[in-house]
Amino acid sequence: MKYFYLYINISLLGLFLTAAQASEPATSLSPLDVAKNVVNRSASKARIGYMHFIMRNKSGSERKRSALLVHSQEPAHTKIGIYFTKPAGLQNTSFLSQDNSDSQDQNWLYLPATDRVRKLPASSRGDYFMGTDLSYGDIKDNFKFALEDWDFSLGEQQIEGGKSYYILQGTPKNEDIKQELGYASFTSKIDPNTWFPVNIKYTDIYNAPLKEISILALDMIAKTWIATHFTVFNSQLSHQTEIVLSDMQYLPNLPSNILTADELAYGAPLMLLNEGE
Amino acid sequence: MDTYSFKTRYFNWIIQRPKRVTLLSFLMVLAMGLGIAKVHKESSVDAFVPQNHPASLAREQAAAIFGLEDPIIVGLVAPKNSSVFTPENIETLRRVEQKIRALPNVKKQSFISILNESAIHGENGDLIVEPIVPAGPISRLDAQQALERVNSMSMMRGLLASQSGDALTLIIPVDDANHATETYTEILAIANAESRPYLKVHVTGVASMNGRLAQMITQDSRKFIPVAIFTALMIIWLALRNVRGLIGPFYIIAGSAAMTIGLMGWLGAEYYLVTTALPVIIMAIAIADSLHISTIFLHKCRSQLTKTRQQNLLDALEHTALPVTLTTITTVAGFTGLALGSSMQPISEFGWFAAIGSLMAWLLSLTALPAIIILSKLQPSVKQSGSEFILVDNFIKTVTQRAFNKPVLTTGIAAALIIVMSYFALQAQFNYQRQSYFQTDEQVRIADITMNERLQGLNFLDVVVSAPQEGGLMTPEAIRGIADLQRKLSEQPFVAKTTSIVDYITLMHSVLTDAPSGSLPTASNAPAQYMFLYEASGDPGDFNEEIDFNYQHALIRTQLTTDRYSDIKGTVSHFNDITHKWSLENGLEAKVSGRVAVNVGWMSLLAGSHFQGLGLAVLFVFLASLLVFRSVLQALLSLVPIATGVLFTYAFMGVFSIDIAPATSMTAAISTGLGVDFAIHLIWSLQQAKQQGASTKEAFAGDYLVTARACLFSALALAVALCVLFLSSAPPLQWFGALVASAAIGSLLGAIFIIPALYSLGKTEPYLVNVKGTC
Repeated sequence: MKYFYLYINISLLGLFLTAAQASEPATSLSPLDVAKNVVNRSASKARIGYMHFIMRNKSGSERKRSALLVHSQEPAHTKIGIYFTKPAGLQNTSFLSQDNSDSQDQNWLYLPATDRVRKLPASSRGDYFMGTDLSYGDIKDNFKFALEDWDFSLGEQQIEGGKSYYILQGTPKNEDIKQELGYASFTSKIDPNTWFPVNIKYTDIYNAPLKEISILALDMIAKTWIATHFTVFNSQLSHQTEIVLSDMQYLPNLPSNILTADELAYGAPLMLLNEGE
Repeated sequence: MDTYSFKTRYFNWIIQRPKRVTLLSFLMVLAMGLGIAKVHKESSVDAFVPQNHPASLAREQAAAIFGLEDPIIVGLVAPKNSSVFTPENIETLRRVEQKIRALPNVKKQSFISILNESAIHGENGDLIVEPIVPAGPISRLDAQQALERVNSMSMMRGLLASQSGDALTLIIPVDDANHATETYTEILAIANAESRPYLKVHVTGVASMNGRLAQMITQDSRKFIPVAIFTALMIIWLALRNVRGLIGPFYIIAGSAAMTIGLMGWLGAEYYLVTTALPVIIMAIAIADSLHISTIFLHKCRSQLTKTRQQNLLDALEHTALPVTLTTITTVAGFTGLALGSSMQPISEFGWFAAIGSLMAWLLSLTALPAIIILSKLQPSVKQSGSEFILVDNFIKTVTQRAFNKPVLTTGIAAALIIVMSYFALQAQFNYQRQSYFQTDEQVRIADITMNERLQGLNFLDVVVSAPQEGGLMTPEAIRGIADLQRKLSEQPFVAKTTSIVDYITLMHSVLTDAPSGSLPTASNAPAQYMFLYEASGDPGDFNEEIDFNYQHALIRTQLTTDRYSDIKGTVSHFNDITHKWSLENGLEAKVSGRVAVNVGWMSLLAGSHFQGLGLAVLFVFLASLLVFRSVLQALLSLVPIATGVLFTYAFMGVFSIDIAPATSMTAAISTGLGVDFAIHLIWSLQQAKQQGASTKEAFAGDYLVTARACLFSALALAVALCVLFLSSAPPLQWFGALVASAAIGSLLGAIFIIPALYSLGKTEPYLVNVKGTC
């Protein structure tokens, strides 16, 4: 019985501490600490799943595309393979992006109509990613803010539903980075529990509001948070891209030869779906 | 006990209560005139075409899908035979673009220039999409490569840069192309600041021209009205030779114009480009009414010395009230005909408000004018005996006598003149050219001419191709069909260049498959995959002007070397025939759109309804005259000044090569409303004399000559006041003034020459030749 009371007391203390932490002003962490927590968020080595794009223009017209997504993250490079399944005109079209930490990024595209894998021009981080409102930089950053790119500051903490969020702000470290990223600043609401942004607002290089990324759903896959539903709204073009990831699985043993330019023409590696966890 | 008619009692009441009547009329003018503040200016030429016109609807659809509004176009022009592709010039283009980006009313994301377009080329079978101008500082090599990239993209040559590389364009879509005055002014200031001896920065485009037109309307209104009032006062002073005599007519002129324009404001009517002429027209009408009453009053004062001023005024009003009313009825009838006959909103509204203006002038002339004459103590000065009019009176008397005494010769000369003038009148043609709305030294006109000359014509005639379902254009069959249509369109006269999504797809096909240049893909999904490849390689927004988001609508854009209606109406007609036939053969829909199609649409509408409006105006005037005179012969006679006035108008157009365009097309119908006044006054005067027992010959003396003198001064007032329009910076408004002035003179000459001759020919009593040449 004594242990029972002790257990209750410890539990209550734990609850109290949790509540106190939630409402505590975010002054205990520096802007850089918050940015580091976001950057150091755990990431799975490899994953697979379906990716559904819905792109809307300002008149409300929609373009829908579906693809199999294979994502692999190694210390030396990050690879993304996208194998389109819909619409019919793009079926079997495949895209591979290799983001190298020590050399220029490389992109390839396989077009069934020409039956050939083509190397795409090296993309700048500010370039649009395959017709979406995301940039290549957004894709590579994976909702993180590279410490070498940004100077950080913290805005006033936001409390919503009894939960406090950090408001992390950033400006590019220099003019070259600004031009490369295509952004003059960002403001992001960060969930301290997941270190995932709830939303990110970017301004363009002239510091006019450009776009807002809203993360609508997170899923824990192999102890890693993954954004499975998010939207990107470009306020200057009134364009929106909505991305939904489904059937996401962790791939503990991704064969090294899958995400290569040579393999693109062979189509989606559907067999990997059965190997995921 | 004396019994007085209603008319006599009414005028007596006014003459005895001048202060009260003046105050009441002033309050009425004030109440209606306050509406002037609510008047909204609409300078768009699109206002001339009905919203539901097919060309207008097609253009709206194209604008909604492709974001193609009438843009402002900035041109950087180097001297001929020198390249504009230098680092300094490209930096200038960058600076201009950045400054314009900061302005409101511009679509910042839709600018088109070498700064934000990419060029496609192949490298070992891979598709390379590169910006024409790289980011960062521009070197000589960068500038040279930019020229090479533009030259490699046939779609861009002749649009973003001239073929010879001596001109660059920056195309700036605006949020509201019809109300871009401030935007144009600000961009012009940026351009002027960046111009250098070896690099002229021009600003043109339809939005610029609309903006400049709006400016001109504002400036012209400020110039015209005070000068027209001053001009009118000078003519009235000449006619009356009495400074006090200016007060009443001045009040009637200003009051009727203020009431009419104010009413436009209260009714929410638009103030179009052609409406600028309305206040001047109303003033001219008001002069005629007030001048007739004042002239007869002073004549009565001089000839009836025993009567008081009040009695003479009453006599003058009783003498003139009916003809003034009748001329108002016929003028209103003429303008109503114009309003009903025109299918163009600005012209129709002009007709309605000119008719209202005539009524306002009549109302004030028969209420406020007599009251002001009493209050101002107007009377002939002691020195005045009528001798100062001896020259004018002698002229009128001589003209009338000679016409009356030699009717065959007079009508013969008139017939010969009519034949000659008819020849010139037939030379007048329906035509419109955007640049003719501006003076030759106007910056926007110089810019338009320069850029059209350096590029391959900046007059856009578009065809929108639509598939029944989304993605329907991304098939080899659809692409082949569009290519076929584009080829047919490119063979039409005045077409300098055509561009469509097919140009990009054939280029990508050639780059990716080593197929010969210009060949089309045949693999079923090739077009869709090429487009996807481009999306992955370049900016997906690069094709926004060529194909819609869902690949259901595509635009074939043609650039014509001219926008002159007489030249390109055939081309537009061919486009319509070709697209109709093509649609039936291909199962896709093709519709003609673009600025040129809209212009041709409303010009065709004008040409179709012009003679209808004129015919209705003449018919209404004839019916009104028939009602007035209750005689078909006299009603026909009243059409004589109209016929000569209208003939003068068209002959003037023919001789001076003035186009029948929206602003000038109204002049003939306006002439009918104004010209009939002379006939009514003169025929009425003759009738009155004959009713009092005068012979036909005697009727052409006495009051007839006084009436004819008033007509002469009215015509002069009309002509001179309308010449005020020459101050306008828009040539069509100048022409409008000159044409109506010529119509007024033509009507006057028809009235004072031909009416006596025809009366003489048709007289029933024995006619004795007056050998002394006097009445």
